[in-house]
Amino acid sequence: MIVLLAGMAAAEEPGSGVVVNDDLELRYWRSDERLPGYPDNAVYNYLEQVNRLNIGWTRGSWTFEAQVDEVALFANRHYLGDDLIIENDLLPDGDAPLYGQSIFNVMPGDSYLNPEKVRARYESKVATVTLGDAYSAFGRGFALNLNRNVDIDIDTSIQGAKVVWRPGMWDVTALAGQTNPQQVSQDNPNEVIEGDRRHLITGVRAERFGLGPANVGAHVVGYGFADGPGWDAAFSTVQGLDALVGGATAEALGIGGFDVFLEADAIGLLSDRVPGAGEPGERPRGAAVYGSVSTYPGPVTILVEGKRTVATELINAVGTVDATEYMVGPSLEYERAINEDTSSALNSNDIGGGRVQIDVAVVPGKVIPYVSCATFRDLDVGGAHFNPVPETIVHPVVGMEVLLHEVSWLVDVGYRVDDRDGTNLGADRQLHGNSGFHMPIAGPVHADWTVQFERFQWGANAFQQSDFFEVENALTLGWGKAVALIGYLDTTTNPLVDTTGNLSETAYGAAEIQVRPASAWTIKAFYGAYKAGIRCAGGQCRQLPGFDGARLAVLGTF
Amino acid sequence: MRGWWVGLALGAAPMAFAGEKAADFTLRDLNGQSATLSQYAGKVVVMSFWATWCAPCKEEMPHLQTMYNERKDKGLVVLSISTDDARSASRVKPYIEKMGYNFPVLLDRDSTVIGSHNPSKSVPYTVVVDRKGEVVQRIAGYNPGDEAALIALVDKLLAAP
Repeated sequence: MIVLLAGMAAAEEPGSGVVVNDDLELRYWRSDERLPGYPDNAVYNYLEQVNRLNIGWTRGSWTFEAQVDEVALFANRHYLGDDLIIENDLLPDGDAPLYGQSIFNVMPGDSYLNPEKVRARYESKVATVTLGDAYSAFGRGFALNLNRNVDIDIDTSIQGAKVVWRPGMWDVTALAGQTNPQQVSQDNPNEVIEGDRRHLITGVRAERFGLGPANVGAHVVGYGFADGPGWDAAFSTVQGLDALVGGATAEALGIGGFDVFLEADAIGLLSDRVPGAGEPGERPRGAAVYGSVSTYPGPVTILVEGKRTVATELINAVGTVDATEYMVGPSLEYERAINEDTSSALNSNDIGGGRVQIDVAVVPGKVIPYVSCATFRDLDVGGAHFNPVPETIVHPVVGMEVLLHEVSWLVDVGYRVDDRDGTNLGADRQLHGNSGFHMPIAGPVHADWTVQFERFQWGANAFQQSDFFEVENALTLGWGKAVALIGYLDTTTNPLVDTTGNLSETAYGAAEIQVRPASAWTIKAFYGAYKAGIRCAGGQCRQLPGFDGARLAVLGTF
Repeated sequence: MRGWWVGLALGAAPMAFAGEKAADFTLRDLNGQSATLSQYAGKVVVMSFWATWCAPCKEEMPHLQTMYNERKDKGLVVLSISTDDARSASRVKPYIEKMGYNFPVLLDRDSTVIGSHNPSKSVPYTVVVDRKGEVVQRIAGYNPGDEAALIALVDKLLAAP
């Protein structure tokens, strides 16, 4: 690879360029767990290394890009007496390779290297053609929305061909390919990984801009599902299209001082192969309707959004094993506050509601308080929901953005109530807050303090979890961009968090130093622990693993 | 064993490449108009990738606005490129309106453009392009005070022929 890069660089000529982005992490996982009979040997501690290399090469109108993920476990297997000890206990068989055989694995032993993404793109004024891995979203995403979710490291692309043709005021997008979910999560590569589930996705969207103040569009997306992982299943088990989604959008800008967007989609199942669709022959139809209106009278900005979705999660359920959702429209939720319970509304199969936000520029561009309120009616009582009956959700949030010359403060507080129908099932109540404060100290030294808290009280729930409280703190002292010292202190009594703190059962502490010896390099050294927990972003949620140990990260961009 | 060292070599190899032509792109702006990077040929272009959910981006944007106001007549263009995907697209224009920003705002909803400059797609991310269309600097993240170095670089590029 390095030879290839050197060759590319040597071959550089005017009109070309190379960008390399690399993220190397070395982690020492610490555990208090001991084998019976070996109390002094911390055999469950292990060292892992994960690397993500991205390369982009531009030559004239062409761009070539690739992402290569690599994982290795150090000294993962050894003998105590006659016993083979595997420090990473995810392996079912001590002689098996770390990862399944149905993926591309060119490295021996407990290691893995995968050319995860590869694409070539041709760009001209009238068309963009992408061969390989591409992302796409139609409308507001209810019919198709596959993009990289940076916050939670979920990255499923469509591996095939995508063309965007721009004749005048038209955008016409056509794509066809197979889903390619990213296998390695940088924060936890040690999962038993099997091959990609390569479902077929094909779609077309046409959008006409500049019809006076209006833009209109229409799209259709077809899904064909593979029954298992790997290339064989992709070509042998996809039996044409299993689902079809069609929709239309209309947007009007500046009419009477209002910007308006509307979208409607219909979902039809063409086979019985979609899980959760019901008995054979039952093919429920789904639909999504979304609208937004915004206006900006004087110092006030008002945004109103509404949605109604039915059976939109049926197709997403196919991607559960890959943590992929193919159709993700606006949730209208304040996702930073989503937890294990409230995520059920984010993934509801039958929900409607709206959200209004009003911002007032008290000092334009500098001090902007706002208030928002979302309300939903969640009728989904199936799946993994905690809710045996429909519920009504009300979620007001107040906040303020203060952006002065060198001082900034972004703060909000909200209170969410999930009120279940009926008098004996109670309501879940959540008080949450978030604050990020930056200020200069002296010269190039600056401070940054972010804190987030949550107080959650369950209503009636089948699992009888106890109420909980969580706080996450990060205090940073920085010397320009060159050095940053960060202290972390988290605590949680959430019964659904399966990690234990390093300071006490519920308290987690850690310290990190970040150094940038040059603008292209960042080196991070971390020691301590952080808790596991759910994180939601981009309409998707992921259970992130906790960590206890030491971590060294080197990031470079050239 | 061999695999580990290959992995380490991949991660730690010091690689540096000089000079890079900024790839052209076509995106729609907030009003649906088409915009390309090449239409700003001959100007100094600061491409600032951001998103409505990104707090450091919000802290950086007032400084970009000030820099743009003071230097746009000298040949500076600040291209504010929103990486909000389809889900949060309705929030982009209200945010720009409430903050009173007047630099061009483009929509990179499929992350195509940021992906070619910053494959990790993290924001904020800034790419500075000189009058010859070559990438001069890439800046990941934002800390208070970073704008001083950016302004110094922009002034140097504006002064160049």
